[in-house]
Amino acid sequence: MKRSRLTIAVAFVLIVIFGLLMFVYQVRKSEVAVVTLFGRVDHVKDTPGPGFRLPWPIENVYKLDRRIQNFEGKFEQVKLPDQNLIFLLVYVGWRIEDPALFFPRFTNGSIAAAQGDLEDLVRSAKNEVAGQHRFSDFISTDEKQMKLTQIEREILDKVRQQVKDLNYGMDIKFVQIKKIGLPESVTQNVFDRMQAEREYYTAQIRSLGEEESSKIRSAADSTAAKLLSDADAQAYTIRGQGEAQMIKSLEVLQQNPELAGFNMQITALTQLLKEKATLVLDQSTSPLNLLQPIQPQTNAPTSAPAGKIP
Amino acid sequence: MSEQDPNQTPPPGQVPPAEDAGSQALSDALRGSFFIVKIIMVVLVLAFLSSGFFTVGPQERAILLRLGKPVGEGEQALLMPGPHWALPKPIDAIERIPFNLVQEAQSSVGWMLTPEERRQGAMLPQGGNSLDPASTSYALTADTNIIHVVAVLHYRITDPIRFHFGFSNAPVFVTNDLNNALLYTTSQFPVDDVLTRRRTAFKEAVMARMNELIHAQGLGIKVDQMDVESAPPTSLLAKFNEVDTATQKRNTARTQAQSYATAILAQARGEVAARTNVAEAARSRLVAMVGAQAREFIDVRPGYERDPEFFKRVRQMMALEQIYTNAQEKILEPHQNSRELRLNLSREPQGSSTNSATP
Repeated sequence: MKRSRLTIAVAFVLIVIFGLLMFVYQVRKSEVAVVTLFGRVDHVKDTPGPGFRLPWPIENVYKLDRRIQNFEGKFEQVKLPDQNLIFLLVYVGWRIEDPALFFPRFTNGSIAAAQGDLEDLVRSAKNEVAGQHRFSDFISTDEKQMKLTQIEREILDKVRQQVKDLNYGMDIKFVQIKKIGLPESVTQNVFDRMQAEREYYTAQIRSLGEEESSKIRSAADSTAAKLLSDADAQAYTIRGQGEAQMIKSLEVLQQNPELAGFNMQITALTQLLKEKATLVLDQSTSPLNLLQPIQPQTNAPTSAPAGKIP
Repeated sequence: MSEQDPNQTPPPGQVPPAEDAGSQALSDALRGSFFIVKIIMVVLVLAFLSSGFFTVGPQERAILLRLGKPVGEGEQALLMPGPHWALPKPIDAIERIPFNLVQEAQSSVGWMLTPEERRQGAMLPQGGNSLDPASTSYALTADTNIIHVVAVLHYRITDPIRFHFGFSNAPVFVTNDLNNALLYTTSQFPVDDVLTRRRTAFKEAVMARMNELIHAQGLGIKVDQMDVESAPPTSLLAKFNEVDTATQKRNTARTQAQSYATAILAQARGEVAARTNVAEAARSRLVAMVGAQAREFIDVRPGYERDPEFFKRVRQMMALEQIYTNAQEKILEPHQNSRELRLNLSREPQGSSTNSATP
C-alpha cells in the first residue's frame, strides 16, 4: 500500500511537470508572445508572467523582442535642390507595436525581415525629405537657418506614416542623422579652398599683428606726448598764477621803487655770499677801516665789498 | 529441491528454512541501501535548494524574474548588492545589470581611426588630397570645412530597468546618440571655433545635445564626463599650424607693444607729475619771496623815509656783517692801498681751485 502511494505521488509529480511543459509558457519583461492556433494568430500576451496554452500542434507560442531596436540605413548619396550632393546615414529606433500585425507580416515575426523592409522605407523618406532642403539647412552658422532637427523630424513622420499605412505593426520611435559626407571630388575642392583660406589667414594675421603692434606703440607715444604737453601747459598756468599773485605784492613795492630796489640788492648780495665764499679785503674796506687810526672825517662814501661771481 | 508455494506459511514450531535467512539479509541490505538513497536524496534536495543562492556585486543590481515576470515594481524590483536566494530555473531567472559603474562610449564616426584602432594607439593615416566618404570618416563644420572629431563619453546607468528592458542594445544607442551630438554640433560651429577659439563652448554644446537625446529617448543614463578632441585633416595640418604660429607671433607682438605702452605711459605720467610739481614749487617760491619782500618793505618803509642815507648804511652794515660771518675764508691785505676787492665764491674747502676776478 505504501509502495503504491509513492508510485502515485511520483507519477503525479511527473504528470504535473509534463503538464506545465505542455500547457504553460513564460513571457519575460523584454518579450511579447504571439500564440497561434493551427498556424493563425489567436491571441497576444504582452504582459510578463506565465500564460496558458494548448499543446502543440494545436497552439504554438512565438516570443518576440518588444524592446526598441536599432536600425541603420546605408550611407548613400542624396541630391539636394541646390544641385549639391551629400551622403547621409540615419539610424532608427523602432519597436514592435502590434505583434498581431507584425507577426504575420514578417516571417514568424523576424526582426531581420522587418528591418529589410524598413530599409526601403527609410531610404525613400530620406531621399524625399533631403531633396526638399538646401545644403545650408544641413550645416550653417546661423542657428535659425540650420534645420537638421527639422529634417530628422520630417523623415521620422514620413517613415512612421508609411509603417502605419502598410500595417507593419511597428512604431518608429525616432530617426537621427548619424553621418554626413561629401562626394570625393567635392572633398578635393574643399581641401583646395581650405588650403587657400589658411594661407590667407596666415598672411592676414601677420599683417594684422604688425598693424596692431604699431598702433599700440604709436597710440602710447601720442598719449605720452599729449600728457607732457598738457603738463607743460599746466605748469605754465601755475607759474602764471604765481606771477599774478606776485604782481599784487609788487604794487606794494612800487610805492617806493628806490627802497624796493635797495632791499632787493641787499637780499641778492646776501644770498650770493651766503656760504663757501672767500673774501680778500683791504684795510679801507668797511668796517676794517676802523682798524686804521682815526683821521679827520671826509665825505667820501665807505667802500663796500663787491664781487664777481666766477 | 522441490517447488514450494511462496505464499504458504511454515507450520508452527518449524524453523524457517535457509531462504528466510537470505531474505533477512537481503532485507537488511535493502534497508541499508534505502537509507543511503535517502541521504543522497536529502543531499540532492539541499543542493537543489542551495543552488538558488546568488550574490549581487557592489557595482550591479539584479532583477528577479519569476516565470518571466519581475518580482516587485519599479525600484522595488531591484535587488541590492549582497546575497540573495531564488527558486531554481526555470521558475526563477536572474537578470544582472551594471549599475553605478562608469560606462564608456566612444563616437564611431568623424575620426581618422576606428574606436578599436584608437584604443590600440594606432598611428594616424597620411591624408590625401581627397576623402572617400565610404572608407573615411570626418565631419563638416558650419563654414563647410572638413575636420575630424571624436568624443569619449563616461556615463552611469541611473534607470537599469529602462536601460536593460527598454532597448535591445542600449550601448549602441548611446554610441549613435554620441555620433549625432557630435555631427549636430559640428554643423553649427565654424572650423576655427571647433579647433581653437571656442573649444569649451563646442564641448558644452555637444554635451547639451547628448543630454537632450538621452532625455528624449529615455535611455536611463546620466553623463559623468565627456572629452572631445578635434583635428584638421592630416594633409592640411601644416597649413593649420602656420596659422597657429602666426597667431602666436601676433599675440607676442601685441603683448610686447602693450608692455611698451604701459612703460612709456608710466614714464610720461611721472614726468607730468615732476613738471607740475616744479611749476608749483616755483610759484610758491616766487609768491613767498615777493610776499616777504613786500612785508619787509612795509615794515622798513617808515624808517627809510625818515632818513634814507642812514637807513641804507645800517642795512648795508647788517648785510656785511652777515656776509663776513658766513664767509668761509677772509684774507686781509694790509699794505694794499688800492680798493680792490677779491671774492672767491663757492670755494671747496680742500683742493679746489680759487676763482678770482679783478674788476
